[in-house]
Amino acid sequence: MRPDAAKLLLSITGVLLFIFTLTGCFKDKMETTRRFAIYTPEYKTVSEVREKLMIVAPKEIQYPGKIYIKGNYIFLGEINRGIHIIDNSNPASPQNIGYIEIPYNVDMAVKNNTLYADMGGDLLSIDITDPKNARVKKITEKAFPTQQRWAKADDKVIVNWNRRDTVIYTKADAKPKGDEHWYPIAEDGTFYNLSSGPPGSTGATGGVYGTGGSMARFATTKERLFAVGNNNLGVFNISEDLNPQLVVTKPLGWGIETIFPFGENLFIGTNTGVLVFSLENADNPSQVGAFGHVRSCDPVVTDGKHIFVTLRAGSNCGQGVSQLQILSATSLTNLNLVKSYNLENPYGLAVDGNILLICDGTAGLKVYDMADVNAIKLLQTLKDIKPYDVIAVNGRAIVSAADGIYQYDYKTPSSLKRLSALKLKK
Amino acid sequence: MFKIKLLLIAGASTLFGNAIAQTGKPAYSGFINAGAVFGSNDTKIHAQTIHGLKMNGWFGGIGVAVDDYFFQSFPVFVDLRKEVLNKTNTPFIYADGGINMVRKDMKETYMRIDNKPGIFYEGGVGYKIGLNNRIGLNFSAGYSFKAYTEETYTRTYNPSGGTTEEWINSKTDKYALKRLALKIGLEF
Repeated sequence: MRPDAAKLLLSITGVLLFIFTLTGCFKDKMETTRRFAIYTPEYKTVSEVREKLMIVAPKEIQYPGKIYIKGNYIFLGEINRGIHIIDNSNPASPQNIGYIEIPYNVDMAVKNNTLYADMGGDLLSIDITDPKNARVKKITEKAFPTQQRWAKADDKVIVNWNRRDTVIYTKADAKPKGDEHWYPIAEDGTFYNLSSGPPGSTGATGGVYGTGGSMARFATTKERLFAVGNNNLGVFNISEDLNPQLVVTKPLGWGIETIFPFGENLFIGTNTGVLVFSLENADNPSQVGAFGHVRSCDPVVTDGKHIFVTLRAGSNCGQGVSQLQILSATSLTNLNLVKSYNLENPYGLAVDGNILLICDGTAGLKVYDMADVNAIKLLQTLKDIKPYDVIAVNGRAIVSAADGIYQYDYKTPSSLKRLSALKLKK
Repeated sequence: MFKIKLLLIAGASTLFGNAIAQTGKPAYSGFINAGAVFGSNDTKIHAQTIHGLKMNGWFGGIGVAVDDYFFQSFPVFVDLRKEVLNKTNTPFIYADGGINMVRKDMKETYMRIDNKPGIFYEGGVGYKIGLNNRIGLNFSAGYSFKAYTEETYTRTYNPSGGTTEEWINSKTDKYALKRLALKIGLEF
C-alpha cells in the first residue's frame, strides 16, 4: 500500500471513530420563553350584582365597546363590565360623569329617557332622566335565553378579571417539528366578538330614540326594542319605556352579528350575508330580502339608496375577504351588488349624506366621498388611530378606537378636525 | 473537453502555486466542500464554499454554506486553517465563526413566526491529499454549532374584554444545534 493511501485510510478510520465516540454527546437544545397573562376572576352572586346596579363614580375607560349617543350624552360600553356615561355637552371637552357596573353587558339602546342594556340573559331598563343619577328600574330576567349565564340568584358570576403577567423559561431537547402548525385557541369566540353596533333612528315613531353605531346588536324604533342574538331576533314592546315586554323571539340562522334600523326595515348583518326584515308588523318582522357573501364579519348600514357592508376576514370571521360592498337598495326583495372596494381591516362604518366613514382598524379611519358609488373617492385617512366603530351625526363623528374615544368635525370631509380625545387607562 | 479544462486549471494552478511558494506572498485560494452533519435530529446535507488568501500553510477567508440540518439556514463565516506539514499531503486544522442566517418567516392570519439569526461556529481536523501543488482533495471532521431564534407572535383580542387585535409575542424558542460535520471537498 502506498504511504498516501495508508494515511488516507488512517484519517478515515480516525474520523469514523470520532463519529461513533461523540455522536451520543451531540444533543440539540431548545430554550423556550413563554409569556402568559393570567386572569383571575372576581365573583359576586347574581343577587349582589342586581342590588348594586346603580351609577357610581366615573371610572377610567379600559376596554371600550359599543357607543351610543342620546342628546348630549354618550353611553360607552366597557366590554363585559358596564357602561360609562359621558356628558358631551361640549364635544371639545367631554366629561366622564358616571359608570354603571353591569357584568356581561355588551349592547345597549335608548328610547326617550330609558337605557336598555343586556346583562347576560337579562334585560335592564335604566332610567336616565338624570344621567348622573341613573337607576335600574326593571330587570327582565331571561329575556335572552341563549345568553343566559345563571339560573339562580345565588349563582356566582364573574364581575371582573384581575390580570398578572408571568414568564416561564424551560429547557429541553430540540425535536423536529415536521409539519406542525400552532394556532391560538379562543376560549369563547362570542365573548371576544367585537360585533356590536349602533342602530339608526330614522323613521322611528312614538318616542325619541338614540343613535348607535353600525356594530350594534340592539336597536330601538317603532316602540320596539330589537335585539339580535347569535341565532335569533328578540322583539320587545317598549311602549311603556321602563316596562319592556318580550313579544317574540324569532329564530334565525347562526352567525347573526349586527342590526341597523332604517325607515320601515331592519338590516341585519350576518357572517354570511345581509338580511332585510320589514317592520310592517313590528311585533313580527318578516324577512323580505337577503344577500349572501363569503364568510366574514360584516356590519351593515344604509342611507335608503344603498346598503353598505364591510367584510372583515380573519380570526373569528372566516378567511374570506376584507372589503366594502355596496348594494343597491332600490329593491329590498332583490338586493344586488353594485361595487366592491378592497379594505385592510374593516370594522364599523357610518353614512351621512355623501360622506362615508369606515373604521379600517389598523389602517385607520377612512373618509370617502360616495356621491358616485361606482367610483367612491378617498378623501382622507386618519392613520393615527385604530378605530372600530363610528357614529356620524350632523357633521360630528364619534369614534371608538383602540386607545380611546375621539370626536371629529367632518363638515370639511377632506380635512377632519379633531374636537376631543378621551384616552384609555394605560 | 472537461478533461482539457481540468488539465488547464491544474496546470495554471500549479504554476501559480509554485510562484507563490517562491515569492512567499499571499495568494488566492478557495474551497468547495460538501458533506453531512450528524446530530440528535437526523443527518442532513451541508455544503459550503470558502474563498480567501493562503500563505505559508495558513489560510484565511470568508465562506457561505447551505445547512439543511433541523431548519435550513445559511451560515456566513470567517474561516481560518493551517496545514500541519509543508507537504503535498498534510493534515490540517480549521476553525470557522460567523452568523447563522435564517429565512422562511411564516405569517398566517393570526399567527406569525419571525426567525432571527444566531451564531455559527465549527472547528475540526482534516487531511489534504494534494493532486498537484495547487489542487487538493480535503477530508475533514469537526464539531459544528449553529443557533437561531424563533419568535412566535399571536394575533389576539385582549382576553379581559379588549376591543382591539394585537400581535403578542407569546413564545420565544432559542435553538442550539450541535453536530458532527463530515466533509469532502476540493481545494484550489
